[in-house]
Amino acid sequence: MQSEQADWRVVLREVGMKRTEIVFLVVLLLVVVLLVVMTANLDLFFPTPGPVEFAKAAINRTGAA
Amino acid sequence: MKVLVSARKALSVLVENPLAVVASACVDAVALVAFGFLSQPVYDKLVEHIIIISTLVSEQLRMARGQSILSALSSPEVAGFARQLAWLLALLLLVAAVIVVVSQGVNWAIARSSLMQKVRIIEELMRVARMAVVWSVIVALVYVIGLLADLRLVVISKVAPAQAGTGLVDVVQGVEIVLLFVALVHLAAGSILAGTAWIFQHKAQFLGAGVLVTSVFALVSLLLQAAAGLSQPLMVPAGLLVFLPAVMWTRVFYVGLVSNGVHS
Repeated sequence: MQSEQADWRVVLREVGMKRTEIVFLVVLLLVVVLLVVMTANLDLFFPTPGPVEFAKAAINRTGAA
Repeated sequence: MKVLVSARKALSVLVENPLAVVASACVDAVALVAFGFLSQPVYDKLVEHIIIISTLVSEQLRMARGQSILSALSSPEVAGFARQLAWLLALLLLVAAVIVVVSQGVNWAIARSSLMQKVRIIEELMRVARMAVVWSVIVALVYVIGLLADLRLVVISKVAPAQAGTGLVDVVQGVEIVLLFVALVHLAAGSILAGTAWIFQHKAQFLGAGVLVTSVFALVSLLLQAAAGLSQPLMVPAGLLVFLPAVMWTRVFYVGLVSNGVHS
């Protein structure tokens, strides 16, 4: 286990990246994936009434029916 | 004087590094397209919510005269939509922040490297990300104030059209322009503290740079309008050829102006 960690450190050093930089890149990638999924399924996360439902609710509120 | 020297130097750097200009323009173009793709559905949903909220609020104001807009906004019927609106704004802000971090990180690194400054893209990305955290709060505040000003204008023009004035909306737009120049200095300086200190120490240069950049973009806008007048399809290539290099010039200009020891 310890030797595996040491191997990773060597790889990071050779690439020239610090651990915080790798973590930053991974978090950035995860946020991008999350955003793409969320924006593609907005109706699931933010439901709104359709025009007919909204008109019916307005009639119920104002008592215009 | 230093403003003009930096402006001329930035122009010559652009002429000497056409590859950097092309790379920067490509990154900006991809960022704009990505922002359009990711933000359009969120923006549509946002508009949907604003229409629902403004309809409900003006309905309530008509029914109970003398009620304030804020109390109408906090009524149980509206509150649910207002909460969703706040989450949508947060999502839009996150989309903008991520695209800004990636595109501006790369592009400010290109601007610095074309001025022979030593730079690593990952470090620049992290620097922009750190600034984006603070700037997201500022942008969110200004955006919400702007949204409330717009909402107020819509509601007043529905209830009492004669009293509707664009004063508050204009003030918010003015503040947004000043904040844009402050953000440019922060990005050029590489940190919010250093950028803010530079603005306080070089007020005349900050003002001069603002006037110069505004003039350049007014000229770019005139050119694009002239291109659109000649032929509508000509506007897209003209935009790519004129607007994006002007954006790159602005970055190089601010890096040169703000960084000590580059021009002096």
